[in-house]
Amino acid sequence: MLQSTVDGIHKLMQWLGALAAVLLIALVFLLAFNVIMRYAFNASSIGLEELSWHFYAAVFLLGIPYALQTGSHVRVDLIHDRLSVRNKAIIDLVGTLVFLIPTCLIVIWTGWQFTAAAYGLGHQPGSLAEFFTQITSTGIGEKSQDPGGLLNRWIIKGVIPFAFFCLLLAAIAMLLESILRLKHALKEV
Amino acid sequence: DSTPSAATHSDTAIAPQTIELTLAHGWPKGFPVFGESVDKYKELVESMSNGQIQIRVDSTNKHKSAFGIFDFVKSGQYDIGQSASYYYGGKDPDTLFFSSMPFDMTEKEQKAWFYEGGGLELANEVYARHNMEVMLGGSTDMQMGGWFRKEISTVEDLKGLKMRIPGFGGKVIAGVGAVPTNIPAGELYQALERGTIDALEWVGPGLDLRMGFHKVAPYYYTGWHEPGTELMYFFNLDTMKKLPEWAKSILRNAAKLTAYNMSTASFAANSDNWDTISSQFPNVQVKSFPPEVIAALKASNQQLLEQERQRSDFARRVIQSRAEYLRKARAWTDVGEYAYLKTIAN
Amino acid sequence: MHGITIFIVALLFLLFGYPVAFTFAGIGIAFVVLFADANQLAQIPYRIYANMGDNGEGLVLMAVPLFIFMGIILQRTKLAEQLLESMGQLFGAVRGGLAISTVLVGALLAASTGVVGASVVAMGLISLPVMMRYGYKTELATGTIAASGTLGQIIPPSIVLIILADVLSVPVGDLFKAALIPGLVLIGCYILYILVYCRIKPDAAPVIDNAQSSQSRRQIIATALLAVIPPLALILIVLGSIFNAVATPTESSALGCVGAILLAILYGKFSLRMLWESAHETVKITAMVFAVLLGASIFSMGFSYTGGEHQVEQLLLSIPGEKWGFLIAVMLLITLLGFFLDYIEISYIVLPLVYAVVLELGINQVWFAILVAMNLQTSFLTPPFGFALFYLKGVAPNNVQTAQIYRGAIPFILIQLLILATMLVFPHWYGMSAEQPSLW
Ligand code: NA
Ligand code: NA
Repeated sequence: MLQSTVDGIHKLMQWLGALAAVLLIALVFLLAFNVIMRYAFNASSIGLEELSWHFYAAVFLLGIPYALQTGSHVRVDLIHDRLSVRNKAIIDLVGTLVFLIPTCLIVIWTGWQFTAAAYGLGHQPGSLAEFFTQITSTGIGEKSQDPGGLLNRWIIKGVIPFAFFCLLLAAIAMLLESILRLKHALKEV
Repeated sequence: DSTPSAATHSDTAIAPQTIELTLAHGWPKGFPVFGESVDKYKELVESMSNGQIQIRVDSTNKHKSAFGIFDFVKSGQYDIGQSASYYYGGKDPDTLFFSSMPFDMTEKEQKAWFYEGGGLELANEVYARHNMEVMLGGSTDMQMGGWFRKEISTVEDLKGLKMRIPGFGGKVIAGVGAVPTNIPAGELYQALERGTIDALEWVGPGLDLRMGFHKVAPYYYTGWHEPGTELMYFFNLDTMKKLPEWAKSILRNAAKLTAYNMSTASFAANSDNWDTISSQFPNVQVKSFPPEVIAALKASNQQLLEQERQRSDFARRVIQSRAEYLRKARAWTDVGEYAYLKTIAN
Repeated sequence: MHGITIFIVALLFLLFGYPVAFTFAGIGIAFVVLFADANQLAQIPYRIYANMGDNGEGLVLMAVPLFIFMGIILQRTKLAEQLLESMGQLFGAVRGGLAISTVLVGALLAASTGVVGASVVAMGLISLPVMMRYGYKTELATGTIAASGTLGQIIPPSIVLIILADVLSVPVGDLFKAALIPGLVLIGCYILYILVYCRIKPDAAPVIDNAQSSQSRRQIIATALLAVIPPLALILIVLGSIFNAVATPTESSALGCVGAILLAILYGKFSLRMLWESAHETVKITAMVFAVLLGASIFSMGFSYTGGEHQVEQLLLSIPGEKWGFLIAVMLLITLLGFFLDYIEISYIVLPLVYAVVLELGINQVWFAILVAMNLQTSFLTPPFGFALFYLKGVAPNNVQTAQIYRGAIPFILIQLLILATMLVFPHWYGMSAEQPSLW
């Protein structure tokens, strides 16, 4: 039961990592394209310039939960390295409960409000159909005010609560894993 | 502790309730003129209220969000904010008209429009939608057209010109074929020095000097797109509703006085620093766009204003209000200040 | 009081070994909730957003994923290894050749990015595995990498100098020019230190063995040069694109990635699988770096919102008003704060307060700014909270321990402090003057 939840979350994180990887590669070529267009053709699009920081922001935000699952976040190992498997599991368990999960919950909540503040400005779509037409025509809520800038700022802002929701899932997986490791360690004794 | 403790005053016999307010502004701590004027606002409010109002001022050093002031005050995260209205054109396009508009009123004319010509009422109409009340915050004074690496003689010269110029001015210049470009502030100097961009606009000599642009671009063009940008104080309406009349009056009138003080400080900084640039850097050439270029830019501006009129009723009203006021005010400026300057010039 | 206690609490919890980023974030949030106003937590998304790029300094941080990506591609295609090995071979019998090559490559990268996280991680990826493989002492290898990685902040372009220019009201171009000589001296001193250290402790840096090859010295040099040229050319193209106004420093790092991919194709080492895996690796490391950045940003809320900023201000008010006393006290304070705070917080808390005194005493702002920059350079390297050390730990193989990284940084911190002292006493050595010029 625990294990299958953990596995499910891991699969999700793999998808997230793949999405971030795609965005990273797209970012490289988008920036190179922008440079070439500006240098060679004196053409520059603020919309594309903005798209580049949208990609970049999504790469690091979506990457954070993925990196948690792959164990890539840096730890100070002065004491940690010398600890038993059991104690390491306890640290992961307590740290996740005390530091990580509260952080996720707070950023999900405040990030949601942050996104809603950007979404809730101006004309609001009345139906799902209108939602889709408005996104592509005038945009919903806050938008760039630079010439040729992007609409729908709530999308990139929404990546913050979304990424931290995924981080919460990854944190839950980490929590469950540390419980499994603890159980295992106790059995060994 | 972050909450300022209740002030104790030995000179007041009774100890009245202290009103504690928070203020966020969109500049680094102590930022010349802009940030300094907020510190003076705090002092002014505190002394006018005999210490009964205490304001905690947070700069971007603390809240890290130069463009979050609108949200902060709207949501009540802070009671008061100081920033520029047109930064929030992306949130509500109707806020665009309350800082400065191309080819429009000078600082003095615009202040008259705000205070005597119904401008402030219009601004408050927009901000009431967002749970805020506003007061003027002070002007940057006449803004310059920017630093150019090459001379602009014809409209053709603007075509493909890579320029850092954000917002409405950027849209106007894009209308004649220039290429507005976003470059982070920290990379601007090098970008201009090496020619990654051909031109940029910043503020005026008062703030341009410290950026050093005069060392890398020889042409300093005179203003056209922001002839007197005004900052604003935002007040959260829920906070205002809770305050007694005297406190509201102090907050508003201190803002009015601060707006005047900051405008004077901007003028002083601009004239001081222009003196420095013109005397120490004789290679800097002041230029103005030729009439043909100005005409093209004006046409582009008119087109954009027409789009704005179409966009919202409110925009139509405010554009009309500004245009009517400008006509009257400029007629007087022409026979008053402008004629004076012209007559005594030689 | 909480402003100071937060560091002790953080230090304690970091030692347990829970990921640095989330320990920072959790403690920051706890302090805001307990000792300030929980409503202020609503500012967290704004802080995150400021790092994302909308009109902010965040845009410049785009160089981080791009540099890491370039570094990983160069590493996976073994091009970086070839570069360093060949450079090392060019040093022949001189011990420490790989470390010196690392410093030189670090200096080149430094000239193309202003973001320390970017260059430290790229250097860690490129050169740590090579030095480890050749049996370099871990402390020497990590210290060299951390120190050369932080060169990015003194050698222009540099975010630190940009921020200092802003808070000290001097043109950023003037700081970039003034930082050049101190930067070169720093590089020179690193190399000198490595040479002397390896002479004293030959075991720490084995000579790259050419003995088994039957090639003559001249042939070795020829082969080495051939191997050095392509990756070096890549770095020079990145630099060239900045100097020739093709791209901003941030954009140039994207050109670097494209260049690295083209090199891989040219050498027949490209595959979609390589690209895909490199991208995944980049995402992980980028996320590690930004998680630390965001965690530290939330942590700094806990510091400044609970009165830490105020405490530092009080400390500054007690600084003597006479020139040398003032300068020495400010420099000591910045070094001290550098152990705990990151350079942005220090710049914004300390400098606005001392700025008026700097002007009053007629101190040359440019000189003062460079002194501060050199001083802040140490803050990346000083344990326990040196960010360069965290980043390097994040990309180092598992058998490299935090303690080794801490120890490795110490000689380089001392070198930096030594240079800082000479800059303070002999500004003219570095082409600067202590007195305010008539005009900047
Ligand atoms: Na650099
Ligand atoms: Na440090």
